[in-house]
Amino acid sequence: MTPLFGRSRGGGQQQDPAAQQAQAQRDQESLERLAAGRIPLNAAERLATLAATDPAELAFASDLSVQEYALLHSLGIVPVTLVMGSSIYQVGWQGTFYMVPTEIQSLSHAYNESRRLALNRLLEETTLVGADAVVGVRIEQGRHDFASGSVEFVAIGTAVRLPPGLRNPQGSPVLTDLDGQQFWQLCAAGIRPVGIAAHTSVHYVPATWQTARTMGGGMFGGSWYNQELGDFTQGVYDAREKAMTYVTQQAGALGADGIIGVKIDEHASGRRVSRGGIECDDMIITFHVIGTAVREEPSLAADARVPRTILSLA
Amino acid sequence: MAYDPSSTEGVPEAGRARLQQNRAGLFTSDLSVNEFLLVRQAGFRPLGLVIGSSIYHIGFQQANYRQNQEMTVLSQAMYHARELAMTRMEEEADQLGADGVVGVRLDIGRYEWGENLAEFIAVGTAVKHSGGELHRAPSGRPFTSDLSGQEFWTLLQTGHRPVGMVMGSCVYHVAHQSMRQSLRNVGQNVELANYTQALYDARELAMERMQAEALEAKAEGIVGVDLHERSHGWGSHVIEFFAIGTAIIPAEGSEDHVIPAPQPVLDLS
Repeated sequence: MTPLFGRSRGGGQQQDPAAQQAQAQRDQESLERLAAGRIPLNAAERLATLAATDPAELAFASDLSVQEYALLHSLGIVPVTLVMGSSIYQVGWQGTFYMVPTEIQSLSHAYNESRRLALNRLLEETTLVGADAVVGVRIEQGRHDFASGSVEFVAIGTAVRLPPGLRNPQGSPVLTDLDGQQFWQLCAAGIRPVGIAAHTSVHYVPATWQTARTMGGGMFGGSWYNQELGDFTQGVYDAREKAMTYVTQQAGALGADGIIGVKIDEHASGRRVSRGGIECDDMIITFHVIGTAVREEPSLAADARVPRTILSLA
Repeated sequence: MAYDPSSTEGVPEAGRARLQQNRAGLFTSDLSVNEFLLVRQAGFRPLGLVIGSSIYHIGFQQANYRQNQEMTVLSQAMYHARELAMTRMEEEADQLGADGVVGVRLDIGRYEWGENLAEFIAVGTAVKHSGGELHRAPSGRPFTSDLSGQEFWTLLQTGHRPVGMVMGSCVYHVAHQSMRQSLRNVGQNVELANYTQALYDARELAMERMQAEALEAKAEGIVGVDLHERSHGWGSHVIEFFAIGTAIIPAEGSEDHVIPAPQPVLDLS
């Protein structure tokens, strides 16, 4: 073995074969846990240690801002640690060429499964540290050069312990993408955040003959007249309504009255095809919808707060 | 596009089911927590996220190289497509029995793959007054407003209510300078009168159209006007001037309304 090889492994010492085998076994176990939709061993151990620590001696990690921390502290909300969940998902092959508007199931499924796995792992981490909620969950989509054709979701947030009054009566931790201030504001108004609802749908919309003509196929170039492209508009409606309906159903399943802070992320791309001698673009439309599910619980409400008109001098 | 409050044209099966769920009591909204709480404080409850969209093929018009002129075909397209999106959104709101729509965003998406193609989308949160006070526009349609939840609350505090979003659009071709003009101006500080004139003209046309819409809605005034110019891929000499704002009227019984004095605070963050 060259010295260079040894250095990159940290100092050139030969590793103890027993330790190597133990490591291999741990890696194997982590993989099995991941396959079951759970978190790897290292993470589980870190969190178990945290959970066993006396809260008074706990050094917490969080991505809270100073203001947020001060506010949470005064409300008796104790940050425990930063928790995360992630999942990289391979998109199965599906021929992306259709003659009728269709949902591209493999893509929709990959997005939704990846997000679901990431959120589940986040929830498992939270349960492990014995926290009652995760505030400020950020769900990000990752993309890696080494894994092309795959989708990744990463969910990161701060696990917190809540005062008994704010805890979820069902016992399971609550995930919310609200920050600490918003979480408290809602509770003070008698509204309880119950979870995150999200869905993605990807649809393929082939251009009809009329659209293809309008868009400038053939020898005459694009149409000179203003007109709506009904088929594409309809495609956008279909994809959007599918995503919105699933999100509404999820919220219902969480026992919510409604969803606030809905964010819609829409992306359309074209696919050049030749149909009946006319070059035209079909549309692939991706809809991500995410929001915070909430439920009214008047018993949570603190004293009635009336907003005042203020003038910030900053 | 004629306004038809009972129209679900183009709304797919899933969408009708969603509206049904919304009617049954589960709401969706894109309001932030602050906005949500303030809208409730103002006596409204959100009913659902309402959306209208239209994918539109924008026609073609040849501009005269040396002439300042409005591109009427393009102006028409921008007007018509926005109208389609807004009307569809209002119809959805009507389906939910809403008094109006707050926090409306009106976006235009252009895609590099579709030349002359644009997507117009209007999104907002349909709301209804919990006390049953009717807040619709005089035309009987749900009101629309691009004010945020905070602004909406503040506006109501002043004894006014929104009636509708009003807009004006003008797509204008700015004439190129002739060779002689350019040569005459070389090295000099001089106002380019024809350019100034063109931009003035276009802006005034857009503003005037917006005001005309407000007059038609019997509004007292327009707040939060946003006037911007954008080129939607028609080359540097063809520009759209777009004015949009929320038309307001005095709320019923607000003749002796007193606006509370604001309290100054010093933000420590």
